[in-house]
Amino acid sequence: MTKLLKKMLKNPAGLLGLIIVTLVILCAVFASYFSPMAPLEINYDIYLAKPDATHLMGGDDLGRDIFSRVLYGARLSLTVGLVSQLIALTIGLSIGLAAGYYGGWLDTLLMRFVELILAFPFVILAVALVVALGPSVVNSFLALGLAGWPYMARVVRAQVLVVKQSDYVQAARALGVSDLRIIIQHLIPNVLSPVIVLATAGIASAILAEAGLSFLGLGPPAPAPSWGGMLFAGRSYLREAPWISGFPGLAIFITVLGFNLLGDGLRDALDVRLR
Amino acid sequence: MLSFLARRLLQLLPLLLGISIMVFLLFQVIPGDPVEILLGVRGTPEMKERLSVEFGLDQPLAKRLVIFLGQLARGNLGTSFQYKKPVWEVIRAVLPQTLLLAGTAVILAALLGITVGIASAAWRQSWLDYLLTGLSLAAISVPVFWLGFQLQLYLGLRLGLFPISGGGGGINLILPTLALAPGSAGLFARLTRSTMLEVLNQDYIRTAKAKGINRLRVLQKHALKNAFIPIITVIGLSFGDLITGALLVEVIFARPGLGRLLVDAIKARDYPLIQGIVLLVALGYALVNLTVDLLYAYLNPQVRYD
Repeated sequence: MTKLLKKMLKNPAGLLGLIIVTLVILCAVFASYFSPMAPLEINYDIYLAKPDATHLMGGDDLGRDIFSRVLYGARLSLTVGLVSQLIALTIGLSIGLAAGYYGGWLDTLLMRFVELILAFPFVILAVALVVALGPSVVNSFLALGLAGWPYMARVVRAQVLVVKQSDYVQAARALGVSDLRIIIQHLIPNVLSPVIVLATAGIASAILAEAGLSFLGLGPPAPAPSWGGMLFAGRSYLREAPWISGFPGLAIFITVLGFNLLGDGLRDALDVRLR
Repeated sequence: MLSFLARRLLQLLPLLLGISIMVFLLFQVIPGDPVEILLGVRGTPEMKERLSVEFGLDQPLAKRLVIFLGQLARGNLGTSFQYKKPVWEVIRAVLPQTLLLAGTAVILAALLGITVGIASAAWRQSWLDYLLTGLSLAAISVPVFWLGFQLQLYLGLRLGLFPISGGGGGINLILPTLALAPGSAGLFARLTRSTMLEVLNQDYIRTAKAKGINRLRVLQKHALKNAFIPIITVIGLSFGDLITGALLVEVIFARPGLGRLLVDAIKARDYPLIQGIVLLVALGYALVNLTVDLLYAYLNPQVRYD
């Protein structure tokens, strides 16, 4: 772990990513300390107000403080990213391990299913899932997780196929160690690196996709401070008050960039090759 | 090549069938009765009964699936609730607009991305490389709708250079293309760079350099040719992102197309239309992947004998 951190510190891009992600997490955790107003609080004095010293990002079309809403929005976006990737990771890891370790008909069956899901563009599948489940915050976590696991499963399976052939796994099997123990003790630690890299990049794409869903009218319901929703709501005021949509969009951009940089840094530091 | 073609086409059939079944099942779990959604509050029980029979909703699931697949095979995607017209007709009317946007964007993205990737690789670890790699990552990370807004605001409203909304080609296509292309261009640039670096490490490149062949000529003659195959694959695979991006861009620039159709359909809960759009995009994606595979096999004979 310290070795990994040292390697990361040497890579300026990865370091920048780590800093951005840390800052975004701090914003989310301490949103209530930093924000001058509650995210849903209305103050008519700042109706479409330009950004100034007290209201750093100005006011929106309902007289709410955009800076506060962007800070609270970080909570939602980070949760979407983390929860959906946790779902994707759980499914992808289990299916990849099962397919790679047991092989045979199970492998064929599972991988055909993976191919089937990969046949859908990620956001389109998420749209279909949200429409099927009904739009809500929890369902968008679910949809993005359910749409995002197949690639993870594929990478895990490929890695398992390599590790399975190694002498220590062969030896463990010859000694009669149970499958579950082999999977937990030998396989999972060895597939972890690519999984971490994929999940980090996956958080970035989940945050982007969630904003896209909000934009298509499938996000969390209206007053909730979601970056995608704020961007969409500010659309009608692009001429008079471009900051309404400008700052939430910038927040998405910086956060996604941070996770992508971090993912690249981790990939180099962990020496993972994704093909 | 011909037997490869036949094999791949045969493999495509179960995939298309699988996609269709999955889309059908997904749209069966939707909460609420489609007939009630369609009729709203005005519906009488008799009207509901009649519509249920008309849509075949009184039949068991398996039978409905068979009917759905049978209709699909004949090119029938069902009837749109909103437009009271066949879904395919509604989609066909706007599809060329979406394809025009996605096509223009992919061409621009490929030209831009491949050039940037080659430049990065050729001058690796120079300030130019760092700048271009940074820009590529930024291009991948930028939300397409936010970029669209900024283009509308600065190039459209403030400078008045381009119209900020409207369909068709020509000048109306410029801002939407500029919003859509960078994401894919960044992806292509990253891949071109890494592939080129890999190829540049090969023995034959070192030999060519040792022979004293001019640097640009090595790039052009040896490296690019071999780097081309993976690049083509990624361009094909990015079709999914491009179509998704195109849908969002269409909404921003008020362009008629699949995106606007989808948003309106979601608002109106026009499930047959949503289902048709999802199905069509997935089937189109599968066909694009097939084309890429075939192109790949054509360019790299080894693949055919796997």
